[in-house]
Amino acid sequence: MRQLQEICGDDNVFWRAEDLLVWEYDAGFDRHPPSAVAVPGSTAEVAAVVKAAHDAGTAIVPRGAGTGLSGGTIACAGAIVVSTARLRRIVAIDAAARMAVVEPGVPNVAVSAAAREVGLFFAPDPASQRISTIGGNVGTNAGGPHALRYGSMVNHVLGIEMVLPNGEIARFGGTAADLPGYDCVPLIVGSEGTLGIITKIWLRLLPLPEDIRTFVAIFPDIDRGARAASAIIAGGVVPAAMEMLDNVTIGTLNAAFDVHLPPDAGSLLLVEIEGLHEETEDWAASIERLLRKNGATDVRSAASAAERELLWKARKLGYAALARIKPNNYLHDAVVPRTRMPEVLKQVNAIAERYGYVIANMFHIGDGNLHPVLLFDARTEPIDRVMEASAEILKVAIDAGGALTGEHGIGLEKNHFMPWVFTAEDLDAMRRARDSFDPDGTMNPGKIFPGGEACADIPTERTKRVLAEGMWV
Amino acid sequence: MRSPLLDTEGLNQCIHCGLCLEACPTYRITRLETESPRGRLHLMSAIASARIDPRESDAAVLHLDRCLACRACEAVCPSGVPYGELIEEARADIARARGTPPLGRLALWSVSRPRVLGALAALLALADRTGLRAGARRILPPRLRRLDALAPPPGRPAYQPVAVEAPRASVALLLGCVMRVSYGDVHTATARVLARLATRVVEVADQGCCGALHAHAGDNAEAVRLAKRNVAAFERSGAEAILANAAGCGAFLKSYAHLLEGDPEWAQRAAAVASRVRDINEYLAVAADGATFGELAMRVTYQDPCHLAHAQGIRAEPRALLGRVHGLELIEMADADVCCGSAGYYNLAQPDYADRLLEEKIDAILATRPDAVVTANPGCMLQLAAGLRARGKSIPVLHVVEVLERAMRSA
Amino acid sequence: MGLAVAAASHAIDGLEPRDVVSVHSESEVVEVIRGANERSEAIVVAGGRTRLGIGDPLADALALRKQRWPVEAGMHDRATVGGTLASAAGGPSRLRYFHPRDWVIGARVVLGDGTAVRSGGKVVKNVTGYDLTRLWSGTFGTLAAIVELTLKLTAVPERTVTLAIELDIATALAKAAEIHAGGLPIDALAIVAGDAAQSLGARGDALLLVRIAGPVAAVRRLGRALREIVTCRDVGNEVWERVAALPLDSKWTARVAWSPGARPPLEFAGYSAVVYPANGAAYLLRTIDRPTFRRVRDSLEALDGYAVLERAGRDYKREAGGAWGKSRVPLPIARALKERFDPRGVLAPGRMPA
Repeated sequence: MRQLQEICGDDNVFWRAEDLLVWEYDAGFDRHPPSAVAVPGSTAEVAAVVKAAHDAGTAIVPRGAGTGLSGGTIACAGAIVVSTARLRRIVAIDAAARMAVVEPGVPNVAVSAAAREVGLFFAPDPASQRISTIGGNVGTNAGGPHALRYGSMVNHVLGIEMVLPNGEIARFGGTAADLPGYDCVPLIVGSEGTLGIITKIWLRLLPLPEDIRTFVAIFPDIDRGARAASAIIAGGVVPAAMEMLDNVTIGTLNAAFDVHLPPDAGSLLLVEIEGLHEETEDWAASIERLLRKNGATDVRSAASAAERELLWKARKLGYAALARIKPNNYLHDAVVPRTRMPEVLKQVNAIAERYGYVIANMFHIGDGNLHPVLLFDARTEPIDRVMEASAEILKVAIDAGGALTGEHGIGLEKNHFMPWVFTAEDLDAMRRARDSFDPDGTMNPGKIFPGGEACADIPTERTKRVLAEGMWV
Repeated sequence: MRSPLLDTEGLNQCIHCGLCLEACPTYRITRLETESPRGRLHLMSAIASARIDPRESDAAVLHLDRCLACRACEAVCPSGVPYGELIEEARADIARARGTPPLGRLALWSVSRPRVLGALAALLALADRTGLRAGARRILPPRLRRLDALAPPPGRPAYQPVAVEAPRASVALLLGCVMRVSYGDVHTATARVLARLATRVVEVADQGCCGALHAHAGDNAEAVRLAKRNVAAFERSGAEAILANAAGCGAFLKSYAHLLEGDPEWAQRAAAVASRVRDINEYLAVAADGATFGELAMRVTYQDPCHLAHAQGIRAEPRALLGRVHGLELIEMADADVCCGSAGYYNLAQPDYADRLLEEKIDAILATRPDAVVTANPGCMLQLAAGLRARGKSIPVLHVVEVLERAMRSA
Repeated sequence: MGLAVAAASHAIDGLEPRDVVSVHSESEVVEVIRGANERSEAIVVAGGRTRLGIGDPLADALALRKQRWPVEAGMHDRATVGGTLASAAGGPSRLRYFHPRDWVIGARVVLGDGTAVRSGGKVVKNVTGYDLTRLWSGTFGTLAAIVELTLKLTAVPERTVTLAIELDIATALAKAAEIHAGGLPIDALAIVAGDAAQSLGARGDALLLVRIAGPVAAVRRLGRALREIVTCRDVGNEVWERVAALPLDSKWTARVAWSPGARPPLEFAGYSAVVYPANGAAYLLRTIDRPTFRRVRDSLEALDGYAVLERAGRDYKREAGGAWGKSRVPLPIARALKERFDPRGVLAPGRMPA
């Protein structure tokens, strides 16, 4: 502790139980306080903290803004939390190279704000982008609505400086593409803090589109909305983003924001296209035709940039607004092949109905990334039952050939479900990659990989393990 | 000790999404979860569920004390967590468990007693004239030296009611405590601007301090006492609108309904009075619709008072009013709606944080190279003036109505 | 998918393999690699051998559905998708579609110890565990043999047009920079210089090639915008296949790269080269003397770039300081990856910096 204080300063090290309470959560529902927290102010301080922990055999959990939804930053096994929140410099915006160099604590939206001044933008736009940090976005390979056209973080991270588990500072990738040697950048992206602590990131920027058009299409039910979305994708035009909102969500957004969406709509598609005027003109015509042909009762387009921004604000903050209906929720992140989307949605809603939960759907329908949200009140409804329903939802997605998570990460939330998707050999291959960086297993123990005991003292963790092992046949 | 006060319903609304973090001034300067709204709500929950005993935990209490109660978090919270109410309830809880700190007690005791405040101001003015104040400054302990630096420049003229012949409307004006003593001229400017719109300010006897500072500091009983006095006084005035030119007071008057909702005798009366409360900017934006305010060639920047922007959602109105002054150039500073660090007596209780916030604020102000800084709350005016003085800048800090009044005089 | 394990006409740097095995299934690959582990033999995984060394069947099948895999690696009639990923092949498509690995969403591979493993899946957005699929990219078969890939596809644009103009190399670089800086969505941008330009029929010093694609009206507009910068003419899209193949046809090829924001440290005057200026990458196609190469490499490495010898004689490579130059991945990590995925070192030993 003394050592951590010497490195980071007294004000940036915490060890009292009451202080540690505020690091026991992220935006998911697993809870466990760390044994200490250090908030270093420079790469050198991060390296010194990691070295000190490594020498003491103490595990480390890296953390950004703590907006993760999968328990990736929850500390178990006596681990200390190392927060990168104070590393928040935008080191450089290189307009000619279309590249930004930033520290991990920079909020996602700040990168685009800085890039905008030179006519560029940063594509990944997770709903949490106002607060979630680039470091955390790298850790979970964050996506967001516009991942449909532009891809997730992994498509936009060009280089990473990282403090390795032994405290050494290493650099992977950077300004020139395809540097000689194994390219570990895409391995580190999405590794959820299990390979080291990121201290600097080289990001790709893109030219701002000349024109943006945003459509709101109203459907009488979810099924027709889903079919219209499939028709658009099959039609060959890839929108920049395509989101579905169901009736419950529409009501919530109307209550929380000044959006005036039709409250009776069964579902709504928010479709955005970006490009040259000539491109958007062309695509808009074909998209509108497909929307109407597939059952849209109304198709409107945002009249102004302000209206467009309000729609996106409502969409992106909508998840938190659901707390107005019930104080607790379980937000899913499964992905299914796009062709299976309509039937999977039906099954997911049927599960919620069978369990008696209010379900809200607000998700990236364009790339098959479902976000069903089960709403409940933890004071009266047992969390175990919610997790049981959730496991059933995951199973439907996996049975349809899908994935456990599209952008939130595995963390503590879904690690025990990994054998539903991968064989022991597949998982062992991932372990080989981890061990190449962290042979002692001190970085973020208990995450991603199933079966470990590191976090077994978290009750929700045990419940999920039992469900995962019991339900898979 | 389980809290009887903390609204667990409100606390439960928080889903820990963290969307409030970047809005929080103390999180922005520290990047620590302990100094964030989400962290503080979690600590409140821990107190409510008896995981933390506020009598034992200095650390938890410190983090809650460091909250400015600026409510910037509340304004951005999609879940609708009533943070402003929760922090007041938590502070009341802690105050009952631990007692109010002496400095806070003194400040609160004095603001609700206009005569005491008046005497203090007169004393300060006298000390200034005799040179005693300059002498005392050298020997004062640091806390009091701070108090001295923040004290308003004495000698501002007292409120002069303005006669209006054939008024088209009559309004009441909350004279308040600090405003009345230190910024009487702002009240006069308010009355003159209203007079130009043929609106008369009726005299409301028996009105007093709104009680906001007491509530923010956890002294709920005194806040309730003051609120009842004001409700009764404004009821009697019969004015169609009750105006406040101090954002913090206006916000608190508007919340009387909530404060007194548990009291069957007062609930309805409080709600009726609260529904008639308007901030002066809010009122003028409607009442002076389309009117222009003369000319004032000046380059200004506008600081959003927290209790105007976050608590009352009034951001566009003061800017629109300033926009109607011919020749006035409004340059937006960065993060205009981030708290300046004034926040009641925060600058006395948490000097370190208040200074850091003020430093950033003054940097943002100076970057706009203004002739004057405009805002709409006495606490902000005091704090910004002190910050500018400390940097050796003679840039005046004006209330929106002062700008309007000066412009109107030129017309 | 047909795949050849081992290699000969398959000779690499003059070294002939002892044996060439042609395999047709994952189980055969497992068998061959296990055998090599038992006998402590080395294996080089080969596909179409364009980059040691996409096939037309794939492209044809996709074209029927108006879809394509937007990766241009050159020699599309020979190059395989496995090889393209394993070699992280560069080419004209890098400007708009970036890295080949961004168009692969799942993989089956056989590791150096003979274990068959799967990564990724069938969905375009996936963080279910580590992204091993992308890790295999650019590893040249030294960690695993790729036996199956799941590709992400994109629609064929309504219209594609290629414009060209002959310029001197300095002007071509300046014009390319101007076009790129304009921020218009350009589909591909290349400069072919020296002998290579002449091989494409140019008489002058350098050929600036620009490709635009999209809806008809957008292509028309882009064409107008480009003609305001340079007077170029429509030359047909087939030229890109030849451009992409140039580095594979040459006896000596060096791939050089620098930060695309910086001026390239060499001006390419007097070089035979394919330059992708907006990507900060170029292929030098005519052998240069070793001291000059070392100087070029040093200047590039000093600016965070590199010079890799993709095709050169064994002696040249040795005297020039190796095929790769300075490694940019922490060597302990590289060694650990190699040891864990290929513990007996049977997969193309010595091929990657480790």
